[in-house]
Amino acid sequence: MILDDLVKNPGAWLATGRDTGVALSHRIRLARNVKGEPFPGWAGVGVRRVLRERLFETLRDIPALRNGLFLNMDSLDALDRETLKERRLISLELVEQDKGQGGGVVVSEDEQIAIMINEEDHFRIQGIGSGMDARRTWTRLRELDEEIEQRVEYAFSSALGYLTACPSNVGTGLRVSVMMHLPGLRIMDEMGPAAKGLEKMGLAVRGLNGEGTEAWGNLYQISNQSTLGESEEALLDRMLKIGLEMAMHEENARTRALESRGVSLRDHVGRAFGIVRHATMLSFQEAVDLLSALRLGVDLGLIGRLSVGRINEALLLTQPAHLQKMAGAVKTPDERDEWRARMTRDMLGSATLKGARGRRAAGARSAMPARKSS
Amino acid sequence: MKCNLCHKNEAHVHFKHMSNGEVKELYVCEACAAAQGFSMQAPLSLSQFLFGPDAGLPKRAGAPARERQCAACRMPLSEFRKRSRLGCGECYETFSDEVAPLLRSMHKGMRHEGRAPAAERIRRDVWNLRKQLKDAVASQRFEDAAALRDRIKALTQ
Repeated sequence: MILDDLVKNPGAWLATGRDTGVALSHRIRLARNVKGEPFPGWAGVGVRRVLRERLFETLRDIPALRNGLFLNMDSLDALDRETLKERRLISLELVEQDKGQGGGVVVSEDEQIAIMINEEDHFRIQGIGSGMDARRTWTRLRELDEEIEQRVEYAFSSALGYLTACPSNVGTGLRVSVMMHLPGLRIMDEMGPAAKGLEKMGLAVRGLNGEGTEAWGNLYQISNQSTLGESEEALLDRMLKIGLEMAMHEENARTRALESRGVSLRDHVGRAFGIVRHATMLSFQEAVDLLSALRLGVDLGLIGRLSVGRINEALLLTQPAHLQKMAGAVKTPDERDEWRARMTRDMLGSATLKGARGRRAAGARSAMPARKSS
Repeated sequence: MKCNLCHKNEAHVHFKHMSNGEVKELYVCEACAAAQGFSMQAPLSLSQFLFGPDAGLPKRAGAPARERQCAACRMPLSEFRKRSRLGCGECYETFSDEVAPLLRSMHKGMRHEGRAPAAERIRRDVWNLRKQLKDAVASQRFEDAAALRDRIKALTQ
């Protein structure tokens, strides 16, 4: 498998064709380090490179990674690195030229496992899956961790657990993160209080692209912060419970939004539908917002003949680096926006906007008296 | 509240100091604070107050004091303070006094709960079995003790 093949596929974690509902995907990661080796941020580039080769050799030996992709950051160009980041296989730290030197990533054939080498820690073992099926991902990750542990001695202390470069990850080294689509809470102005509540529970709420980014398209990542003093199982249970609870709040907010703000909700979805159908240029941020509105429309039954899976797929493939890779030659920003508009239009296919007749029948006349009389 | 040092004057100065994860507090009057040679503006540590202004500072004998650094990876303390990242696993031991307050503010607990490498798991199991063995011997349950001894033997071979 080579990187170019990766780009053409929609990424297993997006589970195309499957309705994942409010939770788009989840990611679980374990931070691990090799005993006796300086952490990557303190080791020089030369030391990092030698260790990367050694760890690559170790990982090649593991059956679950046999047909995987072993990528060396030093030999990838900026576009490839950016593409890997858009697929959430590597972090910003490895994308950056200087910090990424001596780094690498190993991606399993099905793209549900990505092991970053020499990011902040020697290993960042990540499992990525669709929806909230995090138990299965965790089982796989744990098995892989055990496989590696048979071949590498991890830095571990009985008091502090797995030792990591940043004290914020010490202990289990486990971070569970759920990506959720929460337009209902946003429309009902409840996202602020909800985020505050989550933060009080010790969770981080971030936008689509991680730390410090805005929630484009009402997409939020919710993750734990504490890694010490709670077992993996207990944390996983807690995160799944919170995820389900948030999904319930979101469903509830959508129902209330349909009742109290039905007209503006339909307007929001209808406008997005119209723009996607007829626009010839779309920036990425605009595309994310529109796709988010369409996703809500499909969930609420306002749009027919369009699957959530296809929208999820478009969210991935219309990202700048993906677009550039698929378009072949380097495009100007304008050309890229044109491509993006064409792709989202194609995605729409034969989808239809429903509910216009229903609205008239449902006595929404009072909502638009001015237009009727004119 | 009376001054903790002279026990006469009213205490107006409150020192709070964190060391080894423990918060120590001291209430003193201004006279005692001044007598110890501290102005109210300077940031102080409790150890300096209790043990003199030089406490906690590098010894000034002879050559300029060397900064504390990790024996394993040679990372100096200033580097940790700058980046908030440790240099290697050993640094947790070397800079434990600096790390402990951070851990307290970041995490649910201060002790690891959860998975451990196989070798560590065995060590833990053996430790538990040894404790049970001791109890069994103490209460003269010799059959149990023999069984426990066999299990320990199997694990440590």
